[in-house]
Amino acid sequence: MNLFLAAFAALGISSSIMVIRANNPVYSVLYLILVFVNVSGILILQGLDFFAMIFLVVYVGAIAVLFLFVVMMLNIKVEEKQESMLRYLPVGGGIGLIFFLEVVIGLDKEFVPLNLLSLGPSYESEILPEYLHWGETLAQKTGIEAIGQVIYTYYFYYFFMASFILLVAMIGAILLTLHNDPKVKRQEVFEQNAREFSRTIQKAS
Amino acid sequence: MFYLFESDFLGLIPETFLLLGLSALLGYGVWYEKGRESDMTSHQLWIGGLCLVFTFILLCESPLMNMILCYNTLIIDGMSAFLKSLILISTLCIFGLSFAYLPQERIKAFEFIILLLLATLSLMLMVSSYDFISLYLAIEFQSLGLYVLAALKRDNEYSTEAGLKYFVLGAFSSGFLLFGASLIYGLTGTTNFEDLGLLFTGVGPTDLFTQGSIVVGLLFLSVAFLFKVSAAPFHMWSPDVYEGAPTVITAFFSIAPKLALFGVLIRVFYLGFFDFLFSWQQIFFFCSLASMVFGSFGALGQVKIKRLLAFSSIGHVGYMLIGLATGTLQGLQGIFLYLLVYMIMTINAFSVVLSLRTREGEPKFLLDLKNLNLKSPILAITLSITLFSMAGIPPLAGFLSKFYLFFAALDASLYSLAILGVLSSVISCFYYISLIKLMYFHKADEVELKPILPIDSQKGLLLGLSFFGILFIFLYPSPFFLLSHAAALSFS
Amino acid sequence: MSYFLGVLLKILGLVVPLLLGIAFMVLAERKVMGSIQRRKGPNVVGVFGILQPIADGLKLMVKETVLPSNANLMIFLAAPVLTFMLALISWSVIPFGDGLVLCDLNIGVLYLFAVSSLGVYGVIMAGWSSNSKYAFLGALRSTAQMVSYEVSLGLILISTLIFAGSLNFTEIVESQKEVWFAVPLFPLFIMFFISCLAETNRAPFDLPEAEAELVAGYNVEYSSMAFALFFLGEYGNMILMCTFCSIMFLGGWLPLPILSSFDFMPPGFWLGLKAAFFLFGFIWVRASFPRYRYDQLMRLGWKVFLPLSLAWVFFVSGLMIGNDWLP
Repeated sequence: MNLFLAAFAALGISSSIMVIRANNPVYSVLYLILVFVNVSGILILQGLDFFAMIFLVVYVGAIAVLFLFVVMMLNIKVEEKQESMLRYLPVGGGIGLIFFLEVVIGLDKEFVPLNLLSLGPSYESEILPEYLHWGETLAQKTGIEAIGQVIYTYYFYYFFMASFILLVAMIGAILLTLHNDPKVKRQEVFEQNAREFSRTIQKAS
Repeated sequence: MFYLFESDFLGLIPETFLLLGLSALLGYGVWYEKGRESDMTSHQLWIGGLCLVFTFILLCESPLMNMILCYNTLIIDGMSAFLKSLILISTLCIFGLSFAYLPQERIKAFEFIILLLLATLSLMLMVSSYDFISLYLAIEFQSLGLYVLAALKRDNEYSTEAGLKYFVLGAFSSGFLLFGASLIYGLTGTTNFEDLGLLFTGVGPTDLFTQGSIVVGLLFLSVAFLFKVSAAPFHMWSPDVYEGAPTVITAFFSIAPKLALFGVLIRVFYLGFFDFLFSWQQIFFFCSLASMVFGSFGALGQVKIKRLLAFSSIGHVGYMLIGLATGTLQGLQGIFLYLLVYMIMTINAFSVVLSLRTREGEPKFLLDLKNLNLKSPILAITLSITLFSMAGIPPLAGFLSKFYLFFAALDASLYSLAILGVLSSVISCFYYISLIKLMYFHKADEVELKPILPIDSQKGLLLGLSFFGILFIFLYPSPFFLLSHAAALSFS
Repeated sequence: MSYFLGVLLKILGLVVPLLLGIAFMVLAERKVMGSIQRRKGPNVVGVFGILQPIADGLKLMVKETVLPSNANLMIFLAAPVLTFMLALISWSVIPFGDGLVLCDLNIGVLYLFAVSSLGVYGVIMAGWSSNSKYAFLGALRSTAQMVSYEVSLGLILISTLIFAGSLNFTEIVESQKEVWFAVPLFPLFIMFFISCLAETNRAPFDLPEAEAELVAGYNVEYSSMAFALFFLGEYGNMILMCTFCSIMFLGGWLPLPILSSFDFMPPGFWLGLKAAFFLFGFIWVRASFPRYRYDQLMRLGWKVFLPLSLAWVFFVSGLMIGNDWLP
């Protein structure tokens, strides 16, 4: 499956570059959606099927739709974005190079070495332990089952906190955007449905 | 999970009570009839304040002193109790300030109180967090509530700008935090602070490559926290945000998140990464220097009140970072003492700023402070004593806390920090005294002075309490010394 | 090599009857609506109008494709392609019998849900790239409606999944061997049907593409083959939703317990029968009820269906955990 991994990764990286380089902001959001889809493909290759689908449902189906709504309604004129990227090259390139070097230094280094070969050639003579995953020989759980068994029992605190964050987001969105004008007439559908026909017209004598 | 009802909920009783209280308030606010909205906010403020008082009592009377909760994700110890009580007291003071502010600014939304209570809950949970994931969740929880509160005045461009800037910078720094935390996790395999501390025992002078990669993660983490606590050189967002947000929310920003974030900083670096002391000490050394210098020099050119207060809070963060950089228990005690005194001084300063409201609106420019002696001599003397305390002039509270921190720095051989701290105190003296000159010695012109509106009883109470605190802590500081020492001892 | 050939044949065996089904679904809708309105539907082209879809298809192919001059061409042409493609790929997880499924995913339900979330993009891209205010407005409304009803769709699915114990379609059908889920979860069954109506933009929730009022909404600028693709995509989605509904609530390919004399019929027949029952319901509802106004539609989705389905999730999960009935 190396071919698929290479294809998804290459498409993902080029889409993410196109996100910042596209002239039209709607194109940027569409390329962002492409990035999410490619990442979802990579997750499937890693065996995390549940996360791949959740990526599609949450990121592509909700978050990117939100982005798309906002960008489409903002009506950004394309001519405003004409500026040369080259003048940022010295400082920006320098900082980018520093970041890249830092990540490269940190990558592929294990603090607790599980693979003795990576420490150096002198360790090759030692016997490398081989691990047998006994759990896998007995029963296999699906990804979603494994998550469910842990997230509601041991890590329930994280679940609670995530729900509080959603509560704050809901209250915040309403606070920032709701215009509760008392002068606007509204229909109260539950009241209308609760009306009794026999009492709607009464004789006033 | 197996201990959910035996010990986990017992330890989380204050937070649970606060949560239930604010849910009840939320329900009450939604079901209340429309049309009497100004009553609604004052009802919610009173009940919310009562909620906070009860939470404080539950916290103080909690029988559990040292505990790890929720399967190694939360911890209760002396420091968390101390900081949680400070956070609750500061939110209570903010509620006191809002009694007059909300009707005057015609803010009818009761969700203001709910969001403040939710932010307080998140700050309490942040102080107790023991794991990178719970830390990140609590930080996001708090930040989200505060982003919305900063942008509360929807028709004011300053407020919207403040909310937007705060959001962008907050999200950016959370991204750094996640990157650093994931680097650490990738290198060590655990996110728990205690496990990290145990894992790194005796690292010191080992192989540079394995150590270097951890230091990279540490760098990202510390940058993220320094962004959030608005230390220089990551302080650019705070003057704009402090200026644009509603004044009561600015007061909350200056006090409560800093309390919680210092708690977080102490827990991450003293518990998790203490063996990397020589790496992160340099980071905090540099940032503390920069914060003190930027805080004092940056404030010299300001013409608006809230921006001045923002720069002075950057300076105060610089002093607190001295305590963090020492790596000793005395430094920790110094930080806690300074946080306590900083809270009192900032409450006082913001109460005075909120009391200066004229019929046209609240004061924006420093020149609105002129001739305060003629308009209201009591407010003038209160503000001048607070400014003297912020400058560190004996025998006021600010001097006590700075004195303690400089001694801790000298004990840890951070001589340049102590010297520069004193020097920047002197420079900050300059602009504080220029404010006092404006209040007392400005030439009164022929145009009549705009009279300030009378302040309400809650603000008066806060002003009085904090004023007497600033004046008289120096005479009897031992309870505060004992409290901060007890808090610091949890790291011995 | 022969493996790929086998897969290709399976896909063809799935897609070709599906396209035929979509085509005749169009005819069925017109005939049934005509009967409800006491007239005959199309009966000119073949005997009983059987050849009408072929005539429609031929007409659409021969028509001139009009491309608006200021339209964003790539996205304009990509939108119907995306819609049609998504309508087809969701059929890969639907089981027509025991083992008769193209791809037996362990997360089949979530896959369907993800694909229907992606279906929103066809609409929004079509509306925006047409460079026309009405198309854009119709697209935004349609998208908002689809996203709102996906929420209640997901929550209702969660309740049924707690009963079933797995996201695998075959296992969901297997777990309905004793009793179909529509019997204990009858209110949820009704709500799911209505949410499917709203999700596929069918009457009475079709204000965003109301033919009389908004001139077909987001696909107003499309003609000929592009419009045909949208049309096919919409009806394909409709048939998919009906099949989904019959799998989740009416037991999929399980035979009817009452008519046990018909047990010799292949399992696909039962699935088709149940799906046809729902499709008839779709057409019946279209002919009977007036359209919901847009704000009433959104109110229904957020203020009625969401709290109800959420309450049902609480009830079902509480019941199952409390009595230890979890599968």
